[in-house]
Amino acid sequence: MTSNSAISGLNLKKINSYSSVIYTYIFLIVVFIIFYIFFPVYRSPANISNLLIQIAPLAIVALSQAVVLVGGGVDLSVGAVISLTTIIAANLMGTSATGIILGLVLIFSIASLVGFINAVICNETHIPPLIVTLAMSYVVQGIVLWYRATPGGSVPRSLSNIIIYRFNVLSIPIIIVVIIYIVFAFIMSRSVFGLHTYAVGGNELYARMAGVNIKKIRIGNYIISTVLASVAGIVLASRIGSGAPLIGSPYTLDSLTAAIIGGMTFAGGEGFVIGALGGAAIIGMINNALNMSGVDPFYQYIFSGGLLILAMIINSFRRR
Amino acid sequence: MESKIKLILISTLVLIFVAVIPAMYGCAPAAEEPAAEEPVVEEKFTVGYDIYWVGNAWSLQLAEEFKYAIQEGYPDVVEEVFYTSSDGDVSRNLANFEDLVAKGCDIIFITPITPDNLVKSINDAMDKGIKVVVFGSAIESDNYTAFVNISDYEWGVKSAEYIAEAIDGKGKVAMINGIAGTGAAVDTYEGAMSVFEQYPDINTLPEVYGDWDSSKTKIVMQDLLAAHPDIDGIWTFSEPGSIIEVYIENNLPFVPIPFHGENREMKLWKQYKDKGLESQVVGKPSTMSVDALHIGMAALMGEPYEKENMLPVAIYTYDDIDDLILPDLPDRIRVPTYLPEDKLRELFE
Amino acid sequence: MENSNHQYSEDKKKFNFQSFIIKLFQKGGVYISLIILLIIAGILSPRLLEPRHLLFILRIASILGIISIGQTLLIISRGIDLSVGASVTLVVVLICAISMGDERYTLRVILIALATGVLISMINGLLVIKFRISPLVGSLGVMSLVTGATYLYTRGFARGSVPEFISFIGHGQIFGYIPVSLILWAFISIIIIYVLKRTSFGRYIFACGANPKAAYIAGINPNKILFYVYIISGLLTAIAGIIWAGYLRSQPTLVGGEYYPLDSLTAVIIGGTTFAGGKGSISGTIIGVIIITLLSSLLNMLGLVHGVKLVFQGLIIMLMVFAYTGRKIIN
Repeated sequence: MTSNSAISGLNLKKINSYSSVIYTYIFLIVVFIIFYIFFPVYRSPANISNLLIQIAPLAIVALSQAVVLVGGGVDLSVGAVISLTTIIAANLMGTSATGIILGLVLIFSIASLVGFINAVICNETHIPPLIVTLAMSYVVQGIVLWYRATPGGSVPRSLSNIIIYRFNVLSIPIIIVVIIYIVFAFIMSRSVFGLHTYAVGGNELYARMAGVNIKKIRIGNYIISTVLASVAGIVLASRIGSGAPLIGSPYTLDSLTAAIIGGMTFAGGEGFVIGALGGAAIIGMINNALNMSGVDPFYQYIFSGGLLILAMIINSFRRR
Repeated sequence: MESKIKLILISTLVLIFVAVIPAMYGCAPAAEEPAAEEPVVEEKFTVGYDIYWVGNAWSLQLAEEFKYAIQEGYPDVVEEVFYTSSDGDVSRNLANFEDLVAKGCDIIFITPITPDNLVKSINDAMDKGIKVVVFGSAIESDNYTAFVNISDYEWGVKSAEYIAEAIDGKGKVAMINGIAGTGAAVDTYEGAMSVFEQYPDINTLPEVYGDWDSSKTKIVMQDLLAAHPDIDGIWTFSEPGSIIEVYIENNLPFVPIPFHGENREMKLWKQYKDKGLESQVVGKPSTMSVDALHIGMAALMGEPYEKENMLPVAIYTYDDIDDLILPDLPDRIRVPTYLPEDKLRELFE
Repeated sequence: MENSNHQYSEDKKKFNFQSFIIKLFQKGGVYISLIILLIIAGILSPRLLEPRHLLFILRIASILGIISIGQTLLIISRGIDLSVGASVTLVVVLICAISMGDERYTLRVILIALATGVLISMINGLLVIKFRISPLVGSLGVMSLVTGATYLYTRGFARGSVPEFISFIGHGQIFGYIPVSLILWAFISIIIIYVLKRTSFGRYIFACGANPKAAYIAGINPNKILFYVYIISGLLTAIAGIIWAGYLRSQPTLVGGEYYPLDSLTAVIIGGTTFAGGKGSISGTIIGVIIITLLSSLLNMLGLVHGVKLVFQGLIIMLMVFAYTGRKIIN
């Protein structure tokens, strides 16, 4: 039997890092209130509804990254997986109900395969996850460009209409985001899988001595990551109605930024995945606010970098 | 204990996101959002423009031509202009468009980064009475106020026709394109291949990508030359000026190549014409945005305008060079241009 | 330097053959790979090996090469710097915009370039040393910041051109065909290798990378050493920027630098340096850079469809790194 004390001993670390999530959300709420007060346009239901849908894909991928980061790894292939998903959804999905379901099965299978391969290579070789997932992103992106170098195809109407259905301020993508986060918040904090992931990320050696099956955990982490990325891809594909081979690229870095702002670290073993939602929301809100306020677009580039650094500095203080 | 804290935390957050925010906005459906007002009644308009990319001089000039033209041409009718920046990001393109709509713009000028990504949102905007002018890139729809572009496919055809003729219908042709995966790159390539396929003696090399970046294009060209020293002609959609420089650096005899209309190309042309530099300008003007502006403003103010404006691909030969070249002005300007000299210097020098 | 603190318990008797191959690769792996690559290139595309083209490749490689030397030092010290691409781009932009090709500004822009490189590195160093932020994440943030600053400064268009001297560095040849940039690269490599192998500073770098706590107890200040490493890396990035500016001569590009960080990392890893820190090989990195540049050129020359090229790049990167790091053997 595994030594439970070794694992429960790691719980102390988690309690100390509650503050990361709290700070993130306080920051988020403060920013939101500031924008709400100063930008009347910000208040319109249309804008908020837009904002939520715009944040949704990033929020999902940020969760991908968060899970992997907690497990001590990193996944740079998510962007390529998103692009791949949109291409599949737009070109290989039938329009009937069975066609759509088959298409979804195909998407999830391929995404799982990519994640599985990522994990296996990390497990069986000493190649750092950074390089593995990076190389995998080249491979996947290459396949995407090989298959279909041009944006196009069309996502079945029935699917996209369901996915981007809006009501009031909310929309299906946001519901998906909330559900996914609730599910994974519980998985990561209550289930054996979640606790073991923290253990692996925290100290792989101790985790192994405690009897954790590192290989299986890693496989789980990376598959979750790519499958979630494909969910984000489905949302995006429904939004734009077709496939775009390059659409996923910015999401890789942004998901990492969001997860880090949300309190995850590269060291692994700490942070709460729910923080990634806050991180994604902050990024989305700032982009939106920059647009709304009419700030010179060239200033926008500075913001995301400055934001990340600011978030990291804040995080570092909290860690002392 | 900690599980209770966790529970409270999670529920609070969920509550905020799911219940409180909508409650703040009441339960009114989004459809009650006021539509844009009738332009004829409004005295001043709010204009939205998305800068889809500033990765090279062409795209930058596209935006700057617009900015200058709207400032100089319509100071009385334009209340405010909002600029957003997509930087080549498909989702950002869409998000920016939605933001401009939410911002209450009366008219939005937009370059779709892929042909489909904005179709739905443009449909919604058109339903709300917002005028939408699509320019600079193809769109898979005809529901818009106006469309201004040149046909990339036709660009490919015309440039290929020039090359085919210049090499007498036989020889090796290098194919250099922009960024892989973009619509423009694919369309021009298809147009070019439709011409080259008709010449059995023309051997086209596999496509390489210069990414519309002078450094990358130079490296790619150098590699090509190393593999194929016997290239007879170059078909390129990316930075012909940089390619000519590679030839100059390697002391190689020039081969036919289509120019795009950059001042740098004109200067090189003038300088090396006698040394065998043959070319023809197949133009994709960055003044397209200004054409779009005029058409859009006409639509706003209730004046007559053309909805479909597929501009012809302008062809210039060496005889036209004196009209095109701006000898004292910076290299990277795309000619012809509407911008005044001091603005050009400010931007490109 | 044989300090390997990253191995799980191995059953030496059982996996002797495998560890032999791995050791072989680790000792001379890069060289073997280079030879294999050259042979393959010779078969598939012999024109790659033409001296003129090889010199071209080496000229381009020198930029990546110098950056990768800095990266190697950082990785030995358990750091990393993903912002090199953005830094080198900013350096090129500044050189062009400030000098505008004017001779008299030559010295000034060189100094500005060096200062910029060092400044950016110091920011990275500050984040890592003072705020104890993970070097990976810190450099990511700096990368975004620097990219943003570059865009803001240029407003989308990078103007200007380089003075004669810098153009000579990028383009010039000595004795008729040896590129100046190559000589610069070789010169810097020799200096750094000497410092690492023969000076106490070099030993300290390895010591701090291997085990900072032990180094501290031994009286070395790991923070100071790391700081110096960052400064050196910044200088190297700036020098690489000067060469690149010289190569481009004018119209610097804002996006051209995006592959430098990842390529330099790959070169370092192919060269045999691991992320564990405490050991590394400059000469390995140099060969790694040559391999990467050669490979890219080969793939270009083979005229593969772009997608296939990307797939190959990914697979080959993994294969190469696998060859040096070997299988994970766990009981």
